[in-house]
Amino acid sequence: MKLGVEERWDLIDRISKETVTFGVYRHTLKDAIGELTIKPMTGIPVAIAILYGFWSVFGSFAGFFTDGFFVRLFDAYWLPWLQAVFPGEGGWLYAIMVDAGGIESGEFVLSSNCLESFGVLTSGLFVAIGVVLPAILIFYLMLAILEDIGYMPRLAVLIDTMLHKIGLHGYAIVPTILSLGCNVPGVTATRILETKKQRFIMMTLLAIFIPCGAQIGIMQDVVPDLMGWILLYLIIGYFIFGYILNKVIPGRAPEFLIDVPPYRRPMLSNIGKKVLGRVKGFFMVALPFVMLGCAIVGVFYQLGVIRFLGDLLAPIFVGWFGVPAETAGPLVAAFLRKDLAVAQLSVIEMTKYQMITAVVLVSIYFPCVATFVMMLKEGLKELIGALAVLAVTVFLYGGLIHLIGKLLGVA
Amino acid sequence: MEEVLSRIENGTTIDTIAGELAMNRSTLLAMIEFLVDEGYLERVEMRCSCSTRDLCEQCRGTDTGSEMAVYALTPKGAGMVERLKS
Repeated sequence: MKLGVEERWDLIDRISKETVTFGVYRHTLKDAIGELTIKPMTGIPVAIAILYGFWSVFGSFAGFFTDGFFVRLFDAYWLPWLQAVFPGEGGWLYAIMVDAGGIESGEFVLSSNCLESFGVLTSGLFVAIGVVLPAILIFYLMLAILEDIGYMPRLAVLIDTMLHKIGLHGYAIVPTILSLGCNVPGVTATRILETKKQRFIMMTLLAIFIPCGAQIGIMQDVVPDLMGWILLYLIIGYFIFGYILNKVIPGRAPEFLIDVPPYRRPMLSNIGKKVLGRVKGFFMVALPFVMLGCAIVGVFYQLGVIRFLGDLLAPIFVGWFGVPAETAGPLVAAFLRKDLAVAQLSVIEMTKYQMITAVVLVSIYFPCVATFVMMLKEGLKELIGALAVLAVTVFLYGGLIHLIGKLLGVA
Repeated sequence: MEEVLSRIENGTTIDTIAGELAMNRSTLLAMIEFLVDEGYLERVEMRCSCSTRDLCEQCRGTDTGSEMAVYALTPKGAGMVERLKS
């Protein structure tokens, strides 16, 4: 007698049921928690609670170390010391390396804090060490704990249906969350996606809508009360443009079957290795580009390039995006230094809605230089495509935010 | 086997299908391996494939553990599902 494939499997199942004795499995607390975190009815509220907790710890920890320690260290000791010992006050090298200063009543005046000095050794180091280091340290620590516990596969299953609408699948949550720390490993992690279409959509969305730890840290520092609105606009944009890209780009996004591992006790050594590896990676790969960007912005400011481009583009910023003309300079500088651009925006007088629009624009504007290089490594064609999508997205989404503000009467 | 294939959709887990089909988890896993061999499913490698050491350091956490397994429907599998649904 020859059995078909289906009949063979039925036979195997019957034989295993009749011959294998399975002990009575008692549901443990771990199983119950596992089920609660994977079924949508209970899993979604749990996911929201976990992500809210994640955010709260991130904000408190980063704020505590930045405001409570690094701001004082840099503004009270490091900046005055450098201003005093660095030679050539008022010169171009002094402006680029230490303090660009300002003119008050026709006289050159030194800056009073590191965020406004715009020097490589002052603003550059302060942002890197004082703002970004605490932010990415706590971010990667919490991410490593969630990964090691085994929560990430459950989050992937929960969000899978939603991400399929934008041509991705649940595991796209991994590069997305990694990018919230630094976009560089986020772009690299897009390789876990199977098809070219998925990788392109993911890379483009990361470059446009996912702010990195440096940006989040500085936003949390200078516009904390607007963070919710800014992130809301970014999340909405992520899904709207993901949906459009999924419809426009040819290719397949396969259905998935996931074998979720049980919850595990996290290993301290493993968490330590992951956090140290990622923080070290950020400082070795991304930080040199951050400092280089700071120096280039300084040179462009000294040469008047930023002012020229700002004046040239001001009508678009004012007319289409609805932000004040003074934001043109920082928005142009954001091509190279998003974090400092946010700091510059914070001292310009504008309405809350204009501030939200301007910060969202800075976020979606252009990937940082390090991310740009990573995208180039993934392929020139993909990079050009992503940048084309980015240009269209910034124009359309910036205009849409302005329109929404007008309709609501707040712009 | 066709039942298993037709149940693969967004957000499905192996435990869910085993529960729905009142099937032993081990049998289902063997069946899935068979579907992989036959080209209906593909096992997705979740570890990152960085070429440089520094970047691999950063991406170490992108794999979610050795016990993790993800299977995607291949075009052949998707074609079979389409036929089953129609």
